[in-house]
Amino acid sequence: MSRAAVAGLVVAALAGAGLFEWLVTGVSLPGVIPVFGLVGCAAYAMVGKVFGRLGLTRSDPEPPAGASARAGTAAAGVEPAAGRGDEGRA
Amino acid sequence: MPELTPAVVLLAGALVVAVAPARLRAASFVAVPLLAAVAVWQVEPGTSVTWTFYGLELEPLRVDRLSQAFAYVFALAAILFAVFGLRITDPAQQVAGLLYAGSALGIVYAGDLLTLFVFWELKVVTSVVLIWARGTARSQSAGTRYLFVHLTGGIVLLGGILWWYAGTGSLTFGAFEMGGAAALVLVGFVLTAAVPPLHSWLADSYPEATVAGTVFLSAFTTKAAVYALARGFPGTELLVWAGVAMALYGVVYAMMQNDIRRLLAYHIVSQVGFMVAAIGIGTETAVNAATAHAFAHILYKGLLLMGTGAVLQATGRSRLTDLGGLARAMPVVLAVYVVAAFSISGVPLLSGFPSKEMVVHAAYEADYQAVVWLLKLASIGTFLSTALKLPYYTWFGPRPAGPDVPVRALPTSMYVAMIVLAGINVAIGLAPGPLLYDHLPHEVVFEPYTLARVTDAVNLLAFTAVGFWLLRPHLAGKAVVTVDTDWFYRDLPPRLARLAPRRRIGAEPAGWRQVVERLRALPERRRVARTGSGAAAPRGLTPTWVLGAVVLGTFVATLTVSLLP
Repeated sequence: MSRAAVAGLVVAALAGAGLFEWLVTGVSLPGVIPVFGLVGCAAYAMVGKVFGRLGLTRSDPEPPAGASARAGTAAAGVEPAAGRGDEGRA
Repeated sequence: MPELTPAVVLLAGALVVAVAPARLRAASFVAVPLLAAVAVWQVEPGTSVTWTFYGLELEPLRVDRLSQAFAYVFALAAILFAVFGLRITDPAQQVAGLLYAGSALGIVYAGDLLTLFVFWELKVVTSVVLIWARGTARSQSAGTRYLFVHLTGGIVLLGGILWWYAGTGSLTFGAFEMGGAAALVLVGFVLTAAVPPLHSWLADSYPEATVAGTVFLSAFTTKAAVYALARGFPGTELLVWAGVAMALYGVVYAMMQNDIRRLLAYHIVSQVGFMVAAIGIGTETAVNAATAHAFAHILYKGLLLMGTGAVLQATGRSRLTDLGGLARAMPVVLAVYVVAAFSISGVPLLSGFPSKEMVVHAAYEADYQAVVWLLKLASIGTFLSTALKLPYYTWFGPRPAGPDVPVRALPTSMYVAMIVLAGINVAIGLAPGPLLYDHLPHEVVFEPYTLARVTDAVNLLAFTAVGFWLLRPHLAGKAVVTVDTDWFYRDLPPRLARLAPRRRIGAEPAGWRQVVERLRALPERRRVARTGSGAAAPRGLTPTWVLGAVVLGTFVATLTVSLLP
């Protein structure tokens, strides 16, 4: 889907949500809450870049888990059940 | 059992569990919190038991609606968390878990500051066992830092209590009048509530605890502090803004976390921020809201950490970059996790909605408009990271490169605890009146399910979900760690030590030089601990600091008591 189509869908959804809000609750500024949700989300998506610029992140010193991760041992002392995944609940 | 605090049931029960034969230990581990819950149910608001101890009037049991609300949820949490950890084969964890829950109950029933302090410190020394029990080098050092920070906080709290007693001649635990003594007590409380910048112990230590240990830790430490703040400092304006800062700080740091349990640990900071802000507002509605949110938070946060703990238990992994594609292997865990994640996000019909809406309503009612919008902003981040990012990249995201993630089966008891807890979260969301509001300190005149509130919540969360879908490439987990305020006591001392003059080759270090040498060696020991090339836990300076802090604290406390009139 093209960017223009996505933008169109988002604007239509915002308009629909605003209209619904206005009809149901009669708020004087319909659409503020949905726009706030979108803008807030965009702000949080920027956090990584801001942290990087401020020097608040470092590379994880631990290597990826790979085959070294040992399932069932992480809880230190929890007796593992037989089976795999959710099967063990039976 | 009117003459004793119900905490005694858990404390004495822990001793029974400690000496019980292995085949009876699991049964007694669950039976003890059940008995404690019965004892909690039996005490009536208005009950008071006083003792005279060396001329001091102590009140180990004081029951009112505030203490009873916290006691109910502590007792319920202890039962469910014990069921979750039923298959723990390590008696130290079971005993520590019960003692820890008992100390939390002791705190909420303490009518005087000395009893409060005793249970406060018991809470610290029992909870650290749940961190150390993981048995890794990282958990050993994180636990030691946890102990160091909390013992320091305990010393500050004790100093405040003694100063308060010297000034007023009373040890009654009630609302404080702000002054030097009250400020020290407040620092002791806010450190335990994880108010920034005194919060980093939480995100440092909780993810390093055992699977069951983290679930226990999420319920009692910060919520006991919330209770203490609600009792001692309602209406303290500073707490409003501290709470808002917590709510946002926790969410922002959570966005950056790759470890799923650390991500949720930062959300504890954020959610406790809602409670602290409400306590700062201080009206009856606000104190009700803080209590309601603490009640709901213990239940949904416990479930969130059970879900992520189950992933860790089954796969041995806890980083988003190491996880993915678990939906087929762990659908039940996914389902209960989503219930908890939607609860913490304030989705209608789940437990977080009636409590979170009450906090926002209390801020609106007290004319804190900025607080209303900032808490809504924190809610966006909560939904984004706990209900969208974490489950998406854990259960639905691309599998990590390399061999398939091995998934081991989980004990049935873990599923029982998670499913029951999910049911309780739904039940509270459906019927908040009888299950939540009826147990709050003041009469509730608040209706969460109005068309306007539900529409607002649904719109906010729906468009956050739209934003996540559009921006998800920017929100994926990254193999990074963040720098937080613990930098000041983890990284700064070795850096300062590097500035000190080096000793001559062959000369034995002595005195303060020995301390400097050990500080210099800290980064290397930490590297060894992280890479696993050394199995032994870091030894030497950090435990020495802790021991030193304990000795110093005891000395200061003894000296202060001896100087009192």
